[in-house]
Amino acid sequence: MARVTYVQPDGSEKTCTNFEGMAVMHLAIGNLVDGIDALCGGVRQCGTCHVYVDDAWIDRVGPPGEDEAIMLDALSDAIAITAGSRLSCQIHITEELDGLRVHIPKEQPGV
Amino acid sequence: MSAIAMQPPAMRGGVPFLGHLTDFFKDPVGLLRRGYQEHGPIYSFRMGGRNMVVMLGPDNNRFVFQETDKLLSIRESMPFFHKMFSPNFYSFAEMEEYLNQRAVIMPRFKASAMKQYVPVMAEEAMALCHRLGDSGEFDLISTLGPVVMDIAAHSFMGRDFKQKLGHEFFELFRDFSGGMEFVLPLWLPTKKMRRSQAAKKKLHRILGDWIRRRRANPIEPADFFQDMVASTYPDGRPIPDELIIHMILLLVWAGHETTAGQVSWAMIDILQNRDYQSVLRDEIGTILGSASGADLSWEQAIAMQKMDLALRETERLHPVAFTMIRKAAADFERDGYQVREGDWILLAPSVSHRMSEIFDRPDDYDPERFNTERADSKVESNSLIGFGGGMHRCAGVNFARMEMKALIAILLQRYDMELIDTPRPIAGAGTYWPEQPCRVRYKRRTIAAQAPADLEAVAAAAGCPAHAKGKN
Repeated sequence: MARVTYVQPDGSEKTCTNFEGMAVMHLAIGNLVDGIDALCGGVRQCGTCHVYVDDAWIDRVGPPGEDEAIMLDALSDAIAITAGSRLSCQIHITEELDGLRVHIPKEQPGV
Repeated sequence: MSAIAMQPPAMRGGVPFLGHLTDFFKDPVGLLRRGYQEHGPIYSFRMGGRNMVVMLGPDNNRFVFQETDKLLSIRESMPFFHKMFSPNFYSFAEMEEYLNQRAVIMPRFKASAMKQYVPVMAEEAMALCHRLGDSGEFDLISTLGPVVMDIAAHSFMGRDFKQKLGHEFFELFRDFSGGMEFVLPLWLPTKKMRRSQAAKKKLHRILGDWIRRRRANPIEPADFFQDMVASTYPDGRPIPDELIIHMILLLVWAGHETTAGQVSWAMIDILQNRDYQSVLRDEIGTILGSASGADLSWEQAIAMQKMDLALRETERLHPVAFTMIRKAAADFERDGYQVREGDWILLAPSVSHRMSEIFDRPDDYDPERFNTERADSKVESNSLIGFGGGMHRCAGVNFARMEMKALIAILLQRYDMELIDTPRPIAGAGTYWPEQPCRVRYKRRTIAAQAPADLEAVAAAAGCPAHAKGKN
């Protein structure tokens, strides 16, 4: 199983466990984690599941894919995009990501 | 691409041209398990002119989920879909159109959006209890199936629709879904297919009228249907009526076919495992007390965590969507095996969910294997795939789980039940339902007066996310 910890802007944390075929976004939505809205339902169309991957995990999670990078770029006027920025719907959870920490931004675009 | 890649090992037997087609239709899961025992997690068999490549286990599951819409195509894998809906619809539309359509549906099925549906689910479950009375016998599928349909009609089209047109809709829908044909050519003018297409026309007329009615007289507060009627594409364009009709029919079909079977298996598993049944009864007793199931709230349903574990274990043992199909869009290599463009790729939850490398004592019913609080809990990611995975993961998973929870909790609270028939999976290659009849004998329980739990306390003790900060 793989555990993902979601860190809220106020520092509070929630750790959720995955054994299904889920992305970081699905796991958050299924566990009622605040701050991940995923208005489009996980198809990189809305940017409302944006998270900052913890610095220690950026390499292991890897960079955004091509379409995702275009989306993040388009969002960069509205929200702060950093080296750890990812759309959580595009991070498919594998055993290698057990222990992953992601930080939830204060605001999601348009929400 | 490596020059030494081999063809995936092919299953022996089968007949010329048809290959393993008839075996598959007689006992698909048996055939798929035999392939795994003989050849391991990747193998192939032939079905008619098609080369089917089976991929099993968490790593292959992950591969298929991540490569769908890249190396693998879902659009070409279900030809009946075009006839039943429209070629420009949902998973089978062009990518951009699919993304747009999915963006309309998904927000209505978030776990937090379930709040509005729980009272509907409880109401329909109580209506079933009312019909059942104090004691008697009922057949699982033929009794729970219509309740699942009532919940769908009531939740998606509205209470007024269900009351006025519920029965007619149910009958038409049954004929319509008879056309979900996985194998026979769709142009065959079979009786089933003619009836299905006739029902489709009538359903389109009924739903089209209902859309116009709701446009003319919107209801407040808006329900699911009103939201659909008012919804637009992400870019603001209105959604054509025909597409709304397709979406509604898809949701009802997808929700009915699978949930009716899954909730029946969940009841079977619980009735066959008395120990866990009493765990669930204790949980229901603590959370609901002697309060009527009609008052079941979203917060209470969320707090039923043992029930969550039970539903996951049934999903593992009896995945009603027992295979998932993709088509290779290009040649590729996987674990040293060569897959060709045009090969059909099969994931098989029915086999993967019972691999002993993945699950200890895989044939045992043990919901606690999914209890993440347990020190020895170790189920890998991408192991439990009853609802699929990745970008095409079932949109209705939260709805389905909530509906099963409400229905089972209310039945368990109210009745002592036992199975009359020995359950076994239905033969054939459709959805993996329990074979009928699978009857239950039931008798009303006396429930000692007990107040429902202080939910805040229960939720906090269970680490319930809904209560962590008193919101959502």
